[in-house]
Amino acid sequence: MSKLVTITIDGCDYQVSDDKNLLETCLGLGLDLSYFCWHPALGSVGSCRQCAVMLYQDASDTRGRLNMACTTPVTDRMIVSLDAEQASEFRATNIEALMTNHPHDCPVCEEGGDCHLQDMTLMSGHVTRRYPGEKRTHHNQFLGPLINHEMNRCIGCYRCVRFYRDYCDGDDLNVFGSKNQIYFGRAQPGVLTSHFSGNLAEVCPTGVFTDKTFSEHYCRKWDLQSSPSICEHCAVGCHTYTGSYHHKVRKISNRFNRETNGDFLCDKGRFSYQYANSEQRLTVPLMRNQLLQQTDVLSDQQATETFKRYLNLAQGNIVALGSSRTSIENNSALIRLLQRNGATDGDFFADSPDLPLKLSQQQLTYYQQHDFSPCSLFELEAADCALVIGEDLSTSAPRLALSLRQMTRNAGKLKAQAMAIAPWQDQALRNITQQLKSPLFIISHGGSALDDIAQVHHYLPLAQQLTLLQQIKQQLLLLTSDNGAAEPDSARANITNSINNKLSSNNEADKTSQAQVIATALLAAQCPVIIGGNNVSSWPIHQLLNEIYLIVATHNHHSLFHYVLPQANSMALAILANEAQGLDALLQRLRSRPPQLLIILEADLQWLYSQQQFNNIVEQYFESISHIVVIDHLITATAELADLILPGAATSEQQGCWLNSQGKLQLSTASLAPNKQRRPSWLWCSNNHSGDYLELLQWCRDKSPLLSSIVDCQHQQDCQFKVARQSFRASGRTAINAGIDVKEYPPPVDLWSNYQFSMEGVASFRQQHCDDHGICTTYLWQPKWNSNQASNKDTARCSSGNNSSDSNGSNRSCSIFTSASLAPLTPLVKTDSSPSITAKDHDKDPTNTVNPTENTDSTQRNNLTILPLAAFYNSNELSFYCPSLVSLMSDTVIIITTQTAKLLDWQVGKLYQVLLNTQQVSAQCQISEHCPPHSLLLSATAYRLLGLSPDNCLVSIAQLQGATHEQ
Amino acid sequence: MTNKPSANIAKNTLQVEPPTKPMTRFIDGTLNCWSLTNYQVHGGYQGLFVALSLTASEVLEQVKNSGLRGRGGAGFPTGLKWSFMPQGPQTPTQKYLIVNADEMEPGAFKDRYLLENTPHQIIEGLLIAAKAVNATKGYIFIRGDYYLAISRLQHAIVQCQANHLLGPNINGSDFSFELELHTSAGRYICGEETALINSLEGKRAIPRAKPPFPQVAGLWGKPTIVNNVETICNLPHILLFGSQWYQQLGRHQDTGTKLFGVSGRVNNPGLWELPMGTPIREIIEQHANGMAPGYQLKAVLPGGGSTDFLLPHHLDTPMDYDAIGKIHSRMGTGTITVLDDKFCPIKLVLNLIAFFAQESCGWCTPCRDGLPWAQALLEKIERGNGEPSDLEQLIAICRFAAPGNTFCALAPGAVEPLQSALHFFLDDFNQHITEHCCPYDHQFFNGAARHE
Repeated sequence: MSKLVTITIDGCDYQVSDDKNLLETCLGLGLDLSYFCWHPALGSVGSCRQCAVMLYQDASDTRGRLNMACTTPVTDRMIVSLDAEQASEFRATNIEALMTNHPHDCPVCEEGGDCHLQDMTLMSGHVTRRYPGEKRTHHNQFLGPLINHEMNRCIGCYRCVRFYRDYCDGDDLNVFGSKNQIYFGRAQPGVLTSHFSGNLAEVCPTGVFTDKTFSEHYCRKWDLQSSPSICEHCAVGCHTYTGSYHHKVRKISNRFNRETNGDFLCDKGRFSYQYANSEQRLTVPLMRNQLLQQTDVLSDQQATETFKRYLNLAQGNIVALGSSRTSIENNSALIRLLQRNGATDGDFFADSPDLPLKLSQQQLTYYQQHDFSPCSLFELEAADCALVIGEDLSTSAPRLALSLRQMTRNAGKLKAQAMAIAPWQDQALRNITQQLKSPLFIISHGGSALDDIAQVHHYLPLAQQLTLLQQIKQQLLLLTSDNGAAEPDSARANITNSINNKLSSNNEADKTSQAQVIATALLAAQCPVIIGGNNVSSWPIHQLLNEIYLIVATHNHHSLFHYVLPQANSMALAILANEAQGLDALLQRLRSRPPQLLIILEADLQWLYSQQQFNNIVEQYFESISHIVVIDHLITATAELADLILPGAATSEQQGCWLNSQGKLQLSTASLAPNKQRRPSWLWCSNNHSGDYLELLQWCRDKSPLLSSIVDCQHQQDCQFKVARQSFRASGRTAINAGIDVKEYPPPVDLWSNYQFSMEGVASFRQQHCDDHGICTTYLWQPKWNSNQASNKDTARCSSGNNSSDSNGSNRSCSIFTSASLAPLTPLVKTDSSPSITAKDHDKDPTNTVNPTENTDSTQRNNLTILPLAAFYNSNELSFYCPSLVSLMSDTVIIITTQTAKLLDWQVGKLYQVLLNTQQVSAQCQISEHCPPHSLLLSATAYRLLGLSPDNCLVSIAQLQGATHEQ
Repeated sequence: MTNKPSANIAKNTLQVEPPTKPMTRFIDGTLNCWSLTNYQVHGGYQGLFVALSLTASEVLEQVKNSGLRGRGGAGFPTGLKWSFMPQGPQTPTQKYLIVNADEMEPGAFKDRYLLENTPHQIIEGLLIAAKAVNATKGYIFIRGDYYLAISRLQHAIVQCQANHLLGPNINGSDFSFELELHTSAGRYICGEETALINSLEGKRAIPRAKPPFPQVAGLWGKPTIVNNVETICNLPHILLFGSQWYQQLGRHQDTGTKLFGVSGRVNNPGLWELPMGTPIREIIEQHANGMAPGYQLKAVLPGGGSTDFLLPHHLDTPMDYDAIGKIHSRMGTGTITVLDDKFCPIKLVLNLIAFFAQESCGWCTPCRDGLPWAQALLEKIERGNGEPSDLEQLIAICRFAAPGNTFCALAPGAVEPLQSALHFFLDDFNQHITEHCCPYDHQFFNGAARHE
């Protein structure tokens, strides 16, 4: 436990916590101390020697001793000097030494003005180059479409490899060579395989690794117009800064938030912004002209009037499809539109198949009934044992998967603690830890990039997953009922023993012991975490997931839970939509009672439905619907079929609330004003042109108790000032349109937020000013600190030790669940092994087709179960509109076991034409033992397009044997 | 290689008086003690048998009492180092003992002599060390260029395995030990014990952060002792003849004997086992037979390429860790390099700095970028392009790479000859700068001196 100590720095006394190193402490106190190799998330290794300070034994010590602040623990009564001549001279010489080979190419470097090396050089006072030798030069490598490589700029801080290898466990970036010829790159040029490679651009203190997509439409940091935003590409809801310039989003960078993303984003989140600049963006309202067989461009007024006319004509027979990839406000405005025009909530459908929607809704009920809530990523990283059920986190919640990697390091931290080594002593920690990992168990049907850190990964088809989970539950009940509470110590001894007996085969007796291993580990842990997700789409597994958590949580109050959702606003839609009003229900509705007017909000039916279903909808139902209105920012396949298309704003162009899988309501603000005739979807749905934003929020608040905090998470009503989105240094504002019109236009007005689209207003770096009013900063800047490392000078960040409250200004995110973790858990699971939540729902649910006894031997012998295999970029609709990401998308693959391959006589790497669910699909064959027995893994996109589902996923071996292969 | 013991060698065993040159007593042109039979015939493994009859703590106590200090260069008391190894039921049963045979210090060739001639003495010594610290597995980390030593050690290990001197229950005792020979890929930094451990684990050879020290968390995170070859070679004799005997071997403060070497323009360059505390002058004049004709002694590097120069008036200092330390140099490996008056001191320093810059692991800035900077300045001066400000910069670089400022001891060691050269041979530097050429080259071109 940390305690407060007093230290003296250059004559001033400070009260600080003793759990940090001296460098971090100094930065937290707002002092300027230069550094390179240290990083708050990566810890200290003492390689760059830049943070040298003088330490004195006592008041009488006048000589002192030079020490590296990053590797020095803070101790009580310590006397430190940053300004001492010896220390500042050393820092200046050090930076001069590491600049001996730097090319000084700042004017043509993307990092210029946003460069830690520039800042530190100025701070350290090195101004004249004295080194007489030649500079060494390197060849650069092609690292893929996302990251540039310019090795000559390297100053050898090792942060790239420490992030890439040590933090993310990537293996294709390394340091080669020695002395001053060290080279950071790949063994051979090629695309970086880690899905966190984009962070290299932020981790690198200079311009060795830069954002290639940003380079393509480069502008200096001081010209960027930025805003605090939320990543809309998955339900983790990472905090970002969206930087824009001249009607284009230029760059996404990390916005530190302790609870979710910390210091890092995944590549999907960082680079998927490109859709907002896509050529497929809509700029004007379009209307199908049936008479002339052409498309008319409408004015704002014409569009609004047409829409109104359609609404009136429909006479209440309206159906609307909401969207989980847009804000709560937009969805709510759509529901209000229905209500205003004679339709009801029941005519609103969510863009998710019924079952997953129902599961999400059920999950919300569980949270409320049993008074628990999903944990944050920050809490997750502190866990010491994890069970992941059915979810491929590396694709559905990549940032969470990265946190899980950090979770496995806790065993090593504990071992280090016993040797009095602080967790920030990174190098020492790794030497002590070696291969030691906190246990992570994964039960899924395959395809997880977390295999390398998992203690055991059970690759099983759904039915067997269910059996295993039931056994785990039995074991848990057995272990917890036996002697009241299992003794952690003996349990821990047991687990090491049982894990040592490697588990491989799949027979029944073995499964019991496998279950026992997992159950024992969960009970033995100080802080176990159970993670499931919406991907499973199996009712019984979903129930077991919750039951297992509740048994564990009754035993240990520190237990954590997380339920991963597919889309950024999936949870919000689960709240807004009526029960099970999903895509299947929508089809049902179209069939049974065709509406007069179908409004589709930011959704593409072709993406949501299988190919066959989509064709059916278009052919059978669209004819009978009088009018189809699509509100979207992209010309999707669905938009092309609409009668009226209203151009929406992208997330970067509007303000909106997002509800992440942790249950946090988070506000994303516009980085730029919508261009041309685009406007936020909620405005198209509102009654009048200006719209009443506050009224809309109030409606949300009243709609569901879960959304009651939505108004609080918005801008401060009492705030008398606005914060500038542009920096004081922004240049050329008046010149940028000069090629079109020499008139100087006023900046767009932002009616709804505390931010301004100009350099006027309170400068964002005046953090304290913003903090006092609970406003987020619009960009990272500190006096003397121009690069993103300014984030490490944030006093709020540094001061809150393990307090999980928000930092970085205050992201006014509000948890929709009350502080449940502290409340006593309702004992819902009786020890008689018939838990209360199951029986009723289980019987009632017609979709429960997964039955362990169903797969008889003969069906197993003759058939294979097709299981979906998610791919990182392919799983995100908007990624398809991002040129850099499309090239990284994986082709359709079929993964089978060696045994199956022999049976089918298939070869690795060949393309096979297969008939699945009566449709032809071409897929490349891959062989992996990570494929469950009697199954084949098929790319999730193909799985969806073919209309496969857990009820309809068997393919006969004979049919596959008939597959032809292409050369 | 198994030779039949001949009559005159056979008597040369235990009854013999305690030797005055224990480590080299097996080395004689005729003894061929790299074979197990010959080694045993001449009294080899007797020290191990004594150790096996004692408890671990008794062995440790014996070595502590002997006053043996590490011969790798730092001179840390061996027994004290061992005592930092955590013992008892709460500690990992797997403990490692590593013999550092990666000798690469410029001017040093002492370990090679022992490795090639007495491989069994090393195995015996490391078994004693292993017994003392309860190690279960050992590695000899040997410089890859020592081909002869490697083949003899490999052979010796096989012989030991076949004769119950390695493996389970050594010589019928309850002590078991596995030994592997690891040939280094060839980096000077692997002589640093934690870089050696990283290299042994298959990682980049960069030094580790301390704490934790290897004794607590070393190889694979387990308790590990790393000892130099020569240190290890002292152990059989300490066990056999006792710590009292060992203590009285030294002539000054430090105990025991040491291999001292001399290289440079002396009449008889070579290597001798002499008592600790033998004065430098005695080593150079009596054993190396003084300077070659026509050469004057200008300075010496007392302990290898990473020690400060000593001048002629220092020569009566005894070669003892503390005594050499008092005159601001280090005993290091005890292998003396003699600088004569016909060789350019700047060229010598440049040669050394270039070596150390080349061998920097690239981890910390003062070493990685400071040493090449010093090298560039020295090259500039040696070429005759030097400026007075270059000397200030060189002094600044020496201060920059001082102990404590860098991650390990490589760079501070590397600048030791440079900083003392700047102090003692400032005139030479100035002459280079004012005359715009190397004055020694001048002599060379005039035919006044000629070196081969």
